[in-house]
Amino acid sequence: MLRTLESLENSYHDIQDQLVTILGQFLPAAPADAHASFAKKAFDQALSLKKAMMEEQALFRVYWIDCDAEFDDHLVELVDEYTTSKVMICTFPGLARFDKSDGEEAEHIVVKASALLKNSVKV
Amino acid sequence: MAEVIRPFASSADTKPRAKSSRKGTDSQAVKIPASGRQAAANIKGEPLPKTSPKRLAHEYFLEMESFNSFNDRTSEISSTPPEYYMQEVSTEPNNRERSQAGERSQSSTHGPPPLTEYSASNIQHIQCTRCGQGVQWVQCVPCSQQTLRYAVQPVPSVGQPLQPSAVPGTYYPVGESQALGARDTARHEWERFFPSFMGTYPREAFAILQQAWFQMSSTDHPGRSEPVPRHENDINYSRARDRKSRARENSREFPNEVEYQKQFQEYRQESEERIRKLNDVAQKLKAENEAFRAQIFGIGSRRGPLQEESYYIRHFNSLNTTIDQGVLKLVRQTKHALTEPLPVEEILKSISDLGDHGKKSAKFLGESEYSLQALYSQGPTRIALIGHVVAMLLVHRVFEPYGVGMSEEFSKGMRCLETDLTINGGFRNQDQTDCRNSVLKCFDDSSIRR
Repeated sequence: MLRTLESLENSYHDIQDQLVTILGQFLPAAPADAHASFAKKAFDQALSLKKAMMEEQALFRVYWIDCDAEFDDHLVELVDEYTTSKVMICTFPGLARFDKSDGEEAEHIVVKASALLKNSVKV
Repeated sequence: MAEVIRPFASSADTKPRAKSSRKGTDSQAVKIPASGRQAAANIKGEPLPKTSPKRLAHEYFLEMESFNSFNDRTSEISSTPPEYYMQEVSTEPNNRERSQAGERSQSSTHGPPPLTEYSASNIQHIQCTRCGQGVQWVQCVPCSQQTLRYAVQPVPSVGQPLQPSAVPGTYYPVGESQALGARDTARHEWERFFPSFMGTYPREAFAILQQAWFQMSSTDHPGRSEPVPRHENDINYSRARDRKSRARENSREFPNEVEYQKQFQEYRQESEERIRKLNDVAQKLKAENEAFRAQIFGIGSRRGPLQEESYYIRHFNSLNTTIDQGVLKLVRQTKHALTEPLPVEEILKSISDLGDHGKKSAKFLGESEYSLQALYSQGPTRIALIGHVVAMLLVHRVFEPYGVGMSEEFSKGMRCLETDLTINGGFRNQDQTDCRNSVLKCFDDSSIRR
């Protein structure tokens, strides 16, 4: 049990360090403390939500929309008004709940994923 | 043998009568030899001649008594023999002058004045301790001359007719009779035995002998000893003695009782503090136990979700907002350096490490027209790009695995098992059995952790 807790702590630090590294690559001019603070805040919030979903009887799953994927209005909530193109980048995942209905697994979208479509950006 | 006591000591010879009158109320017992009283009782009106042996013996005895009990502040010794006072008293009223003249001449036939003429303070009742009979002395107011009026039983009150018969006996003042009788038993013995020695010993030797006799008699029981306990109290006595010895031994074992009391108080305070802390811990454990019970009941009964769906929606959107605002804040802080070139290769490599989604995203950002540099060069897309990478990292490392920190293979196997158990209630298809095998393999290979 102690080994498990210790490995969890190490995993937490590993994830935060990875996030800080990526932020440092994108925004090298920002102070390291700002990166770490933001990484910790986002990670803690995500971890809390993860624990709550694990304890819940219902199966919650976070789904991700890949780049250059077809737009599905059922899964994706558009940031802008353009709806006729593929997904350029997913800015935030969606949340789905899975239930057993008539012996079949049923998926219910709780929160749609946020994404930008290709035609919303002029390169 | 009988003595008579004079309550009003007077001295017509040596002291002024006024002083004697003033102190006459202090009754001083002066004993008169029985021989003189017998003579007075027998001859009645025939006083003894002054040269008779009985008269001399009586005077000698009076002097000895005054030597022993004389108090010049309260009493005076009169040498007047009792026969003088015990002469017959006339019943007819008489004045004081006649009385005084009769007393002084010792031959007057007129008696003293009646009792009604004497004040109460000048009348003293005296009672015999042996027979209880009483006499009454009266004292003349002008001359303080004392007169024995009668000695009869009972003592008449003032104003009653005189009873001239004198009864032999030892007389004491009524108020002091009991005290004198209680403490002067030896004196009685001495006085009973005295006449036989009166004429054989010298005066000084007699006085010393009498004084020694009284002093020895007044010794307060020199041979007194502690009473022996009764037989029926022997057991109780032994028990009490044992208790006392045990208490003494206990006091020897704990000589510093104050120190022990302090230590006891300290131990008591520590114990109370410990009990209070244990009570707090017990209360916390009780509350946790109740929470666990509620959770177990909720899980076991499967009556519904632990949290409402809105709870997850709210927290999920809150996480989205946190990422957007955090990225925006960081971008604003580095606005002055946005023109610097990006380490594109490093960034793409980092993105490609984020699982399957990361590989697809890195490929899209590196090969398509929506390149990393192009998206980063514009303000709105820059924020979306950074948010995209942050969200993808959280999905890959936090949300997608079955548990945070698990390896990808083990997490996939656990996810398969969970789905199979939840949906089908067991392992029913081959694919999920493979998932179980992969999980077991992860346990064997110790590759559970990422």
